[in-house]
Amino acid sequence: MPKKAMDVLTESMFYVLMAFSNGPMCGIDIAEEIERCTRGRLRIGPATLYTILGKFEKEKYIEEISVEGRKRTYQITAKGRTAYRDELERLRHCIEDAEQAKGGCL
Amino acid sequence: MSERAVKHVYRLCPCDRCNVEGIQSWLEDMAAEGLFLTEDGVFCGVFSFERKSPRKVTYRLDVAQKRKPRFMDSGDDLTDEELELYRSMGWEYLLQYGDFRVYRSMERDVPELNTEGETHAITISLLKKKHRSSFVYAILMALFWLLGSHGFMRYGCRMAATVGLVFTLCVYGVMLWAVIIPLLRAFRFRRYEKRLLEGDSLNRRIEWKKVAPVTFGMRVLPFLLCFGVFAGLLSVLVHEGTDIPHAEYPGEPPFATVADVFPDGTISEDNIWLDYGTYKIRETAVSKNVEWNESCDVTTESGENYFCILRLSYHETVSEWIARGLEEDYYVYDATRYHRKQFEDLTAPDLGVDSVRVYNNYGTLCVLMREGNRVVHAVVTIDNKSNQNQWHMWAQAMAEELKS
Repeated sequence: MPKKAMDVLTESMFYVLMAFSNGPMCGIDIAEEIERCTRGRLRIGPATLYTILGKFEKEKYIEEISVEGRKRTYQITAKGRTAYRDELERLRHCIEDAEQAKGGCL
Repeated sequence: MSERAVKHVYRLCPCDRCNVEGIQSWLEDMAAEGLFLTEDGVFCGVFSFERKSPRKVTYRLDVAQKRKPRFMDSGDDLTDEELELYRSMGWEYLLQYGDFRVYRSMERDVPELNTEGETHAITISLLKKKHRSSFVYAILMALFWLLGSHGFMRYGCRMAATVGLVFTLCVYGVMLWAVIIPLLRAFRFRRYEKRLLEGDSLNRRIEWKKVAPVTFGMRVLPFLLCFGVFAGLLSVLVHEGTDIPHAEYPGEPPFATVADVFPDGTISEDNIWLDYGTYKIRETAVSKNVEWNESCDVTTESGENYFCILRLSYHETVSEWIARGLEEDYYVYDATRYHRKQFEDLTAPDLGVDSVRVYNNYGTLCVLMREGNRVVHAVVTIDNKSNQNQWHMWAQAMAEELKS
């Protein structure tokens, strides 16, 4: 049975939320920020980015704060921060579990 | 090369508008042949290409959140910022086709538009839901049409008998089409969604030439069906037939007329409306139909006077199965035509034919009779001084006629 989208944050979703830690951003800024902080490992596709922004706006993880011309700037909401922290926590647990399993099954 | 020298070529898309990989593959093959899709170059499914030197081009279709009106495939609701980001990653937005935006990249090793299957599945899921809703809507419409109380020629047998078999098949074909297409598209998007969630992408090469004949058939079929419907309606108008006086009826009518009810009576025609005293014959592939309208005063040998009205439809169908359906269609149509309170079933006498139904329908008395492949639907009035409708006299005569 395939996973249902948004049950957990995907890698791209996680990094998009993380990008907002530097303050409000527009789409281009987010793409650049993700590429910078992953040192080029993750280059998010434009369609993926705008799908995530649309979904996050619908889920109220982010909100639009200004429209300059046709450039939209978003900021993270409290709900978005909570989702980000929850995901971060989940990932930490995953790492801890993996660390403990060292020398175990692999 | 100057702009004037650029040659434009127009091609009908050989894939269904929801076949993402098929359209991508087709556009890429066109580019390999030197045909490059132009910006906003689509109208009603016809794509416009510029002929240049062949080269490798990557095309991608991505779900557009807002759909354009049906006959305006092209349009642009992307923001400047979005366009800039797409450009910075090597993608050029070209046009919107149905539910998708078409992008092109001339660069090699360009990053994909969608870099994550699960996120891509979100937008594909929206299309799946949309087509699933269209399917449910089409089913509800079909049920309303079939079960509704005020349908126009709702049922196939009556439609086939009176208007034509081809017309009937086309009407049902259109209905089936409206149900099947959204269902097929919903299934396609379900398949796409499943693949994306399993880590696949929608960038496979497809042999679009294999699906092209099917797509062509699926495009032509609705036009043929609609043509069949309009042609059927037109033929009804053209071959409506003229009202011919009873005296010109060729041979003996295969049904009972007033003269058969009162063989020794004196009949004086009193045609209260224009089409009374006349008949019409109309034949379709499945039925020979006669409409007979008669109104007259009758004086019997014993001196009794009757006022008679007979408005009759006679059908001789190619099979008993159609005749049974036709009989049922008549009954249901009459029973649901007006308010239920205006309809009353009466006890039908045993006349020795396959089926007899008698009912009052909005103040008129109807007799519906079937024997084998012959069906008669008649509005009967046979009044004498006591003002009681002696319809059973005609029904008896009609049953004898059918049994003979």
